[in-house]
Amino acid sequence: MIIDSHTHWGTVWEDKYGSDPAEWLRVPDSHGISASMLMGHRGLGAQADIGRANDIVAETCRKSGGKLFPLASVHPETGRESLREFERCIRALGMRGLKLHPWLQGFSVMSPAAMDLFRLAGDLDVPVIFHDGTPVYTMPAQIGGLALNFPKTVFVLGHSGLLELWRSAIEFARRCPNLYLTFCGPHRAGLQAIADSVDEERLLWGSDFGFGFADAIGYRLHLVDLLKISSRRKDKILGRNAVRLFRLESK
Amino acid sequence: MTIDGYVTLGNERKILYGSGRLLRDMDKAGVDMAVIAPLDSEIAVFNRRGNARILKVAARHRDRLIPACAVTPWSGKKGLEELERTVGEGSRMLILHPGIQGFLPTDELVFPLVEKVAARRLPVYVHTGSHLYGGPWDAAGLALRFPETAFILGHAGATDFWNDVPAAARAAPNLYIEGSLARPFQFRNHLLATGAARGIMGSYAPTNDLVFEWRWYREHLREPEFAPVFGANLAALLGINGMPS
Repeated sequence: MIIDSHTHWGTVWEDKYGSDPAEWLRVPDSHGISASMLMGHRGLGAQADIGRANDIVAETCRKSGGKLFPLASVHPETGRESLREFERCIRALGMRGLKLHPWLQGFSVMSPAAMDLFRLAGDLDVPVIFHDGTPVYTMPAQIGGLALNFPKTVFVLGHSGLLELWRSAIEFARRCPNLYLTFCGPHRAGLQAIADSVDEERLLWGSDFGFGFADAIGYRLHLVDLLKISSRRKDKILGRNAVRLFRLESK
Repeated sequence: MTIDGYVTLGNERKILYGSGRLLRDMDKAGVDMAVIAPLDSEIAVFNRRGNARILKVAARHRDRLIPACAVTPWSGKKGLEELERTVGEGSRMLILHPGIQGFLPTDELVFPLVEKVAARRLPVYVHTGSHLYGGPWDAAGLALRFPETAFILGHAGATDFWNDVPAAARAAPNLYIEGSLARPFQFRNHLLATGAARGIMGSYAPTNDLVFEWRWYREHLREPEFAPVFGANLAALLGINGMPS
């Protein structure tokens, strides 16, 4: 069982197919992916109608035959409105967590406006997934700082520090039991270092497929085959941990 | 002829990569030649030790391995002397690593080094992607200052500078795009934007797996792109046309 914990309903897909995931699904299907966590793209824009963007992501997932599971997004700077929208996404749309992209959305993870969201995520018992690895708003150490400040909330580094900051991701993942790392960004050597150092229960795999049409899945999936890890650990990274974190077995 | 544009040779931290294993990987991947580079510590600090080591290994495999060298711009006159020495002994490409050497590519600190390799008509490989020092537009700025010299945009600005690459390459016609770490699906987008004549394949082994990288770049690129990107473009920059095919 392989779960892709990091995919997008990209604007290019939405423009071409609306909320019909049939063509999109051909790509993960060809690689034997069982299910994917789907995040939005259009909603990340500052002028976006975030409610409508979340509705489209949810609708796309509903049409997937159980292969896609939605993640919400909101703009923290909108204050109480963002809290209402987040709660609606979880309770009414059945979304499995909150995705934030501070680089594209243009806010600091330390922004006071975001603090209530992190608290609410803990109350709702759903994870907050971040784009990370990009200074100055999304460094792993900053998100690690959030994990220290909000111990009841689970945070996920969507890229484990990318190519430059994966050592920092390791340091904070070792320190924070509520911090997960996604194998979606570092090179082979970085992934091996993460696999060797971080609690195997808190490692996920993702492809970042869907921002464009290019197939990003095959390369990133087979990169995991290069790692010197046990088959048990590999099973957890590729799927079992995601099933637990996103509660996929209950649906 | 196929050439891997960037391989690091040696043992550092947890990575061990000697010439025997490299040559075996090249054979498995169908790669004729590879540019070999010093370790990070040798790029940052121990330039002379690294350059001498790389020259020595390359001398044992002249038909397969092409020596590159590194000199930190902070080393001043001594650095220029080291560059003169190592190029005189056979180094074929200068590596600049602004991220670990700590300078901006557009800083005047680096100009004397570039002037020296420009006089020898050797290419300059610039590591990019580091958030402060690794922007493609800074590399392009250096390339625009030295229009007669070929600059190789190492890692194509990966990860976060992918948007900058096509326009920077268009602005500086002497800027070539090396795709290691950019991943094959993104590298292909760069080639579509700039043309295959500007692309250079590099595995960045052993940080990446050489055989794996070549397999997946072959998978994503199209046949007309193979010859220029997998060897001919770099061969022309290195002046090694006519080597074994």
